[in-house]
Amino acid sequence: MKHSIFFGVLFSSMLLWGCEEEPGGKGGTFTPGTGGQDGWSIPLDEVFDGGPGKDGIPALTEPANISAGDADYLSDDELVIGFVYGDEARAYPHQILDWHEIINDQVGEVNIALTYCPLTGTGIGWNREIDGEVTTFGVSGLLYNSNLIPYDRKTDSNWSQIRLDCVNGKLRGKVAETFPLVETTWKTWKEMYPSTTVISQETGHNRNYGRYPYGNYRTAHDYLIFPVANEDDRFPNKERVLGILHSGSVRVYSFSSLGDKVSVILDELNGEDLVIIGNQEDNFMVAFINDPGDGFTLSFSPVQGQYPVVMTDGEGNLWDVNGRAVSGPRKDSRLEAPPSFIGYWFSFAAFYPDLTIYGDS
Amino acid sequence: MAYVNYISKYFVVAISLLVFGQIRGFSQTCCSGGVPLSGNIGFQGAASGTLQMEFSYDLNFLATLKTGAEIYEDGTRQRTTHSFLVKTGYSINRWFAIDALFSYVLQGRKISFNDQIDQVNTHGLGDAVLMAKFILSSISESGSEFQLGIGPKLPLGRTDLTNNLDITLNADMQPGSGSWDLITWAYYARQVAKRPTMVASARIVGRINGMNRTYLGTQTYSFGNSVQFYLGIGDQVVWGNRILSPSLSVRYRYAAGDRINDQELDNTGGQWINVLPALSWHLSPKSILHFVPEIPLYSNVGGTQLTPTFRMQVGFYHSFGIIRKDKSKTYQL
Repeated sequence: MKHSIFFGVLFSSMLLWGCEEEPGGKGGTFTPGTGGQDGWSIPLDEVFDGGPGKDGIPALTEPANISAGDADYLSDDELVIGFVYGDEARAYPHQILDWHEIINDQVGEVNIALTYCPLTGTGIGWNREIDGEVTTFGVSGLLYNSNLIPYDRKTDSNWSQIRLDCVNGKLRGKVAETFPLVETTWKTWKEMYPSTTVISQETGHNRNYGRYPYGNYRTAHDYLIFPVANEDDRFPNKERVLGILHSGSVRVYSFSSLGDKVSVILDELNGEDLVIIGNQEDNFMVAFINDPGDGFTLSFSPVQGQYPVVMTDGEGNLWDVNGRAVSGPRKDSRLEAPPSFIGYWFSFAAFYPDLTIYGDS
Repeated sequence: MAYVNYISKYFVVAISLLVFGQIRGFSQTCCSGGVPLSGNIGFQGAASGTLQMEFSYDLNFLATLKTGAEIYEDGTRQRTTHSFLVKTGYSINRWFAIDALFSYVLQGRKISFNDQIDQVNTHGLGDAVLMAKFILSSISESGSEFQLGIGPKLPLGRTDLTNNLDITLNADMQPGSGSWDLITWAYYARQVAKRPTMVASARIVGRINGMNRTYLGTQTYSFGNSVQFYLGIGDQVVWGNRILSPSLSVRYRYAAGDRINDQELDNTGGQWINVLPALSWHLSPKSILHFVPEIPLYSNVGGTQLTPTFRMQVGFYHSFGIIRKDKSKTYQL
């Protein structure tokens, strides 16, 4: 890649809504690199028009949601992206996101933009409240490294989804604040949160949601529609991996690092202790900073068969998949989540050529 | 009623069917908004030394969103392609003729969403087609005409136009395809028995596409190969002191999906059946004005695409030189 990608740390010491009573997940920010030209932070000659045009892929805003029991359009093995705020859990199915790419939603008090790029397979939750003002995001129709460029409707500024920052316009340089999400199968999500709601197919747009609109794209590893700045063959292009963006470094974790049961990986990235929890068979992987807020590092171990609880620690706390202690001496404490998301391997390699892979010597 | 005896009835009706009863056939990727090149190439046979010219304007308006054969109500997207076409043909002798078609293209993409409109326009010289034709039989000799043609499509149009942010637009919005293609063409027409002014015709146009090897700088892109079948019938009537030639054609077109980096691109290709009720007004024996609307009857597109809602073409035809006449037949209309 021609420009350096990321520096520094603006990692969220700022909690999203407060401290330990915080009912939603703790997210973070990540400071990407600089560079670019003509008012852009990215190389303009690597930004392409995707074809449909600005808003040609219509983002949804506060679409109707239904109970899990009413969502008979979803099969168990379909992927959804789940978000939890307090006691409220909501699922955003890939089959809706494939057609709309952005869902501007409100869950409890949280204004979230669920951004999803079908070409990079990346689903990231952004805070829609920017500088004290709530905005909505739309699909600009532009792509950088084959990845979605959302625009915010308050300022018409263009953002890079995977870089997590505004790359053009009035808010250029602004870093997106992310919310922790859980990408998994509908079956697993329902098991974790049986009372979840899910976005309805009644979106106000007439689309065949049951049809994946990109043919064999998600399985054909050699099939990239738009140029990318860097290619790396350490994994097949479309292998889904978890990428953690933290302290100026990026590390990816393969599902093959996990077992077919809930597994915990304790890792360190740039001096920060991380805990990665996942289950290859149930198809989820999430990451947290191993610091419950008092400077201690906990010795986590997996918990089986108690979704949404996925791990415990040496103090006897039980932690759920959103990093919340649901019981034990730290009950209602939260682990902070670094910016992390699942996506196709090639997209992490394109944006962050200096990344490391967990398990690589 | 009037008598018509100053011009070949076959010729004027065939002109209506062949020259004007066709308006497209060169789709560009996901929305069939391409420049109508291959569907417009090919003049009717004329006497040796005849130079034929046609200037036409073609409008392709796309606002119908379909998945397969199913229409999705969606009023947010429109694509418009305005094509200005210059076609010329020269008959070298009894057996051979050459045709050429040049284009200038204006394309527009309009998105209406949340009371906001995003409009992107491009324009530029489009691609061109050259075709050599072999005339196997002529109407004056056998009562039917049969021609075969073949030729290249030349990538004269640009493929790197940008939007107002200086960002390269995708293939669909470019005036050129960036590839050398091969056009094949066959035409058959015959006078309908007992009514010399009535002509029935059939035409097949095939296109084998080459590859743009510099698409978006580093990609390869090829539009899907296509084949078109036309069936038409036309007649002529006299209105006042002018000859009018109404005709009706049906066009079936199949296009394979486009390919990018040798992978088939979803949401491209498909099948279309359109009807073309055309009307030509003969200003003189050598000059004709024409109007050809094209109405979609059926389409089954690959994936989800914007597909033509309406097309039309208006044009002016003129020939220079000697037009082959029949044997002074007259026919009372």
